[in-house]
Amino acid sequence: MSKVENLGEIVDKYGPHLYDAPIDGWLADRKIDRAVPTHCPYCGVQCGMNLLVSNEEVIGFEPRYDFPVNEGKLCPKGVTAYLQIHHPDRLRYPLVKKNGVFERATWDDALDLVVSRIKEIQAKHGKNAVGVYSGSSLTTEKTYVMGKFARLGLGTRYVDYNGRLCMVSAAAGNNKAFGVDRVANSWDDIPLAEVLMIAGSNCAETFPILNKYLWQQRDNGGSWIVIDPRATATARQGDIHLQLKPGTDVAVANGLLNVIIREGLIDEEFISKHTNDWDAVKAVIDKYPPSRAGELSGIDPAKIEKAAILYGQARTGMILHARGIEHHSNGVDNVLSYINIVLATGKIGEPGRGYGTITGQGNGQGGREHGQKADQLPGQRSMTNPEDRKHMCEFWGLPEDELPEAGVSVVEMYEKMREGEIKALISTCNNGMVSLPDVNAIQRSLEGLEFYVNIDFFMSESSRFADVVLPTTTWAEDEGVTASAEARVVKINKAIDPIGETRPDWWIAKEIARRMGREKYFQFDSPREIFNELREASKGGKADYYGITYEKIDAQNGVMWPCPTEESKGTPRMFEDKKFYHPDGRAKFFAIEYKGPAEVPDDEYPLSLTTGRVVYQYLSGNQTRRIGFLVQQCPEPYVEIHPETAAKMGIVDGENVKVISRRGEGIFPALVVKTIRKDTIFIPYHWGDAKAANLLTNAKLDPVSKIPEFKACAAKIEKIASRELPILGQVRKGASLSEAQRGK
Amino acid sequence: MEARPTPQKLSYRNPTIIGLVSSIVLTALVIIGSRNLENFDSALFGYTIASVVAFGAIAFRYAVWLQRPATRIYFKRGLQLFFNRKKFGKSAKSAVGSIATNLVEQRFIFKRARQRWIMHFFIMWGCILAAAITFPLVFGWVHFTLEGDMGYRAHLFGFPLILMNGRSLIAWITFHGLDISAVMVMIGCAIAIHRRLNDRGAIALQQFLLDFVPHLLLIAISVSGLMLTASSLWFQGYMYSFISLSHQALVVMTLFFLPFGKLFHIVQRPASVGVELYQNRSAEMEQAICPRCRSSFVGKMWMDDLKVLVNELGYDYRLKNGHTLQDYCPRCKRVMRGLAYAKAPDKAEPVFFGSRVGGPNV
Amino acid sequence: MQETMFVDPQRCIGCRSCVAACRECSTHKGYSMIFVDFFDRGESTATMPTICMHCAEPTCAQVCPADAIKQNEDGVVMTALKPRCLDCRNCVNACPFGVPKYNSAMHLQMKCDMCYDRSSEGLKPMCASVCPTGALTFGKYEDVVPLRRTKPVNIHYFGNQKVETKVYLMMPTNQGDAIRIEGDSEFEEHLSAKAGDEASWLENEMGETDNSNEFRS
Repeated sequence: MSKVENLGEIVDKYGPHLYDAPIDGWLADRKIDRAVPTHCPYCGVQCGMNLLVSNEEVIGFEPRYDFPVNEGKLCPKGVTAYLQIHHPDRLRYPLVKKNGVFERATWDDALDLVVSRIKEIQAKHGKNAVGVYSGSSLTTEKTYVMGKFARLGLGTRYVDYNGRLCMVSAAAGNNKAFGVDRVANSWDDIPLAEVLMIAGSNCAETFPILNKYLWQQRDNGGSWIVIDPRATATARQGDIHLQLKPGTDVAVANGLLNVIIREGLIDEEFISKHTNDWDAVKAVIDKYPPSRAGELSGIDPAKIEKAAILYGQARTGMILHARGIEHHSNGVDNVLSYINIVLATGKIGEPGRGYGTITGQGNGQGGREHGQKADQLPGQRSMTNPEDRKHMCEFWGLPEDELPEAGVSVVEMYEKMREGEIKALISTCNNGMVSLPDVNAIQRSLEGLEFYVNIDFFMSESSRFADVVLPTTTWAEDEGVTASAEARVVKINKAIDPIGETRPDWWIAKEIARRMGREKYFQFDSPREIFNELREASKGGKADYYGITYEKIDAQNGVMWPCPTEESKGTPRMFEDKKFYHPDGRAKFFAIEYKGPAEVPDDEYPLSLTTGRVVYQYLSGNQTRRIGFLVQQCPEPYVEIHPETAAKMGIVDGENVKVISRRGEGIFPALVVKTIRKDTIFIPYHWGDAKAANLLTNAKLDPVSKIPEFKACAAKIEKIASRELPILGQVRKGASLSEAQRGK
Repeated sequence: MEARPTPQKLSYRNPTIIGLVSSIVLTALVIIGSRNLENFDSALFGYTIASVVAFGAIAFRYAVWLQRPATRIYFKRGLQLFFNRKKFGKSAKSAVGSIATNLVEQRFIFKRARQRWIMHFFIMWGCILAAAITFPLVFGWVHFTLEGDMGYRAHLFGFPLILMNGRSLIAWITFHGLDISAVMVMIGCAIAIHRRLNDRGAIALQQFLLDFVPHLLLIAISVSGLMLTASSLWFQGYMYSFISLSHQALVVMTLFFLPFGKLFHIVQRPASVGVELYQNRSAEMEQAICPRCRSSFVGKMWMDDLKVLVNELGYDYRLKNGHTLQDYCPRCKRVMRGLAYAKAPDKAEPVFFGSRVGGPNV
Repeated sequence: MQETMFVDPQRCIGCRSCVAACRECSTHKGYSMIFVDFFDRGESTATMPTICMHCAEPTCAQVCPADAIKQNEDGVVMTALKPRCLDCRNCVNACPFGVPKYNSAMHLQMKCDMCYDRSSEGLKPMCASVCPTGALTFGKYEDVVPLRRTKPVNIHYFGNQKVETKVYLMMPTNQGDAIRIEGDSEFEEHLSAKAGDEASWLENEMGETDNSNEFRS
């Protein structure tokens, strides 16, 4: 159905084009009408910034020194974020594909077409033939609406969100161990920790502003243990670097805990009073002395001992982890094995003693709390718990039999598209053609759809496949809240009215629902009204927002949930009373055996491929691959290879090489660096088309969290026979490969 | 031993002589050009004196400027290159090209900002027009005689030139040339002042004496000049002599301001022709190679001149490896400094556990 | 102005946020004057942030034939005066730190002026405002130094040449009052056995200027 036949024309018209200056150029004489305090649209730190508005146009930013998290600090994405608002590539009116060509349509025509096609498909194949795939860069209000829209507006069980590619392993692990899914401490605890253990996080590039806290800790005399297959900037600045093989995190964590137990550095009192199932863990950990842990993970056992003793002896300490341990087919196991260390040493619920995942997306935390996750209802309620279902149906005034069953994760949804069970898809705030594993399969899923509606503000690699593209607003044109990685609920403020004919996502969902005859469930006209409904909906849930108001957020510079009452100031530090969210108030240990990644290097594919990010691009790159400065700093993906590995194959720095896995292949310039393991290669994943790292990655899912294994698969490298470099050079300065292809 | 830059010693003897000689030469030219003051308009005597003094002052200032070691090297080398016989044709071509693009078209100002170029266009051509009309009159080089009823004849250095009809457009433009130039200057200055009042960058950097006074003087001259025209045309010479005296005072002030303030760039800017010649020529010659990254980044002649200059200024950037710091390209200089920094913890105890720049200790 | 800049390369994560933010300042108008250079990407992710050190006796001003580079009463060495600068690039190549950039089309040298529109009004310069780790910090000596475990140094020796600067470099060692730059071979002796100093292609790609400090158009 939805094939992309005229890629060149689409790229010509909708980009990515590079744009690198404020709307009228770099002027310093425009009168600034107002500075709107708001937050960065990108990662989970949610840095504060002021947008400068002149004549109803955003012309720049001014650091927001008074916002306590970042104190004016920003990464290069944040600095250039305002450039996307008036970007020439912005979609300004609805597009409907006719005979393979996008044509301008009115909102009425476009929405009527969407509704008639959905009705037609649902009448023929049942309500579940339509899926909704949402995102976590939306404000919490919008994520709440998207979940409700899918289940109440369309009546489909198939809804999920791109946080599935983010930190669901951490979410699942936290729920299992603590009974609640939230980072346990605010960042303010980081400087108080003597030792930080940072596992699988290149936070220098992925959460640059977090480094403010890391260096405060260092200035206080603290040290860092960094666990990463690459010697990233964070690892370089750290004190002990455990450079493990990708996917061997359980072995490392178990090895660390083994030493901690051996040295008598566990907190027996905490274990006996506040936890369950310690004995089972102890039995398993006995099998992982540092020698075995070192052998499995490729780390010098002495280093594991040293790290374990450093963390174990410290009075205060925190463990932070990120995608590096979560993006695995055993991601939840990885998370739980680190939580075991936290619980065994009792370093939780006190100043400088804590644990947390560093959530990726801007609203990664908020986006997984209020009912757009396949298995959840608002307030982190469960889709499968009869009480929770009853509660929400009563709240919404929905007959209980009308609430669909729990859905499936997004990768499984795309499988169901290929299998023909899902015939139509409405997606917003995501770009599966870059961010989902095994892009070739994803493309087949989209091409197999009968009807595809994509909502975005730039034409993404995925939008190109859509039958209808609806233009939405950027973050500067609407208000709403997000929950940052420390569960701090902050307020995005509206700087200007939506440009062109763009409309916020909540308006689009509401309009489709109205035309479907479901308007009684969507009685709101502003984000504030949605937020008030959401507060009530979350009341009594784990993620209780009831006591949070827009005014309280402004007055307090953010509120950390749970905030159950209007008097409550929120909860910066969890578990201070050592009460966990399981019914018996105890945290739970899980005995984890090492399994390793689903695909291990073998003779045919001898290298371990891991993927990740660069500081200049954000997620699927649809927003950042259009900003001149960011593209100039990192114009294209590359493959990091150790010099010894490169020398064996005669590969020199900058040479284009072919990287092949069992699922696909791609050509990337080699970056020959000593900062990576000899048995490992690395490709940043922000690009699409032939430059997509996810052509290679393994779509194997974690059995619990359903996160795909982005961080480890087997691959090989081949030299390209011709010395001529077919891609390098042409694409170097461009935004994407598709632009170069257009040229041919 | 530490090397410190030696303060530059400026001698004023030669510049003073140059200034005096310039003034005397101009005086002689005035006398000769006006046929022994025969054609000299004594009403313009004040202007003439001020011009002669200002001319001497500019020559003095220019001579002082040329004493800067950097300027002197460029000046000498520029002349040497220009008068190199083998390449004279090429040099002349380069100079003509530079004059066209830099001085006439002023493309570089356009690249800085379009508005700036418009502003500068009006001020510069307004001033040039005004100067082209007034100085020959003031020096008695040009004068007009009445022939018949409405015929005006222009004379240059006493030689008769064209006869024109007083009612013709050409005559109107000729007699109102100064009014046209005044309007041009006012437009340009208005743009400049508007920018200086609104541009946050300019506001931060500007100084009243340096950046506002020249514009205010030019506007005052233009306004008073236009008032003279208005007075004689429409108000029967009302307050003419007062306005005339004010105008004269303002012009004299501006002339004396020329060598010392922002307006000195008028005489300084043409040096860019020489600089460009120097650069073009040095780009054709052997290139200096950065000893570290092996990239060529600047002409060798230029680099050698620069090293001589830096040395002459009292700096000593010689390194232990036999190179001079300036031999390295800018990026390698930055990286070398970084590497020296990276090595520091090896020489002494690091302040804390992880403070090796290259990577963790463990 | 009692405040100055403190540069701590060890904290630098190479994000080039400063490079992007530098363009936002009203006196820079889209041109960035900061450099973040890899020491050697093949060896390490370590990066060196370079801003103008604002020398007490600036070489750049001395070598300027047009006398276009001025130091203000705060000791800040300003960008070349626009009417004067002849685009001769003497300053670009004489500066011991490799700081001044030039734009040939505009006949103009440009360099860090500590965001004079901001710092003269008590605001932090853009780079120090946004720097995530504090590798670039703006503040008073007595406010910044006690919080750090590094030693502030404002004297460089390039061979015999002593250069005293307004800006401080934070040394990761507690000895010596100066940093000495003697040659170019430290990295090889220190960390690697690699021959040659060719920069990685990635290093050549990045940044607003080429290795001669000319702005890329």
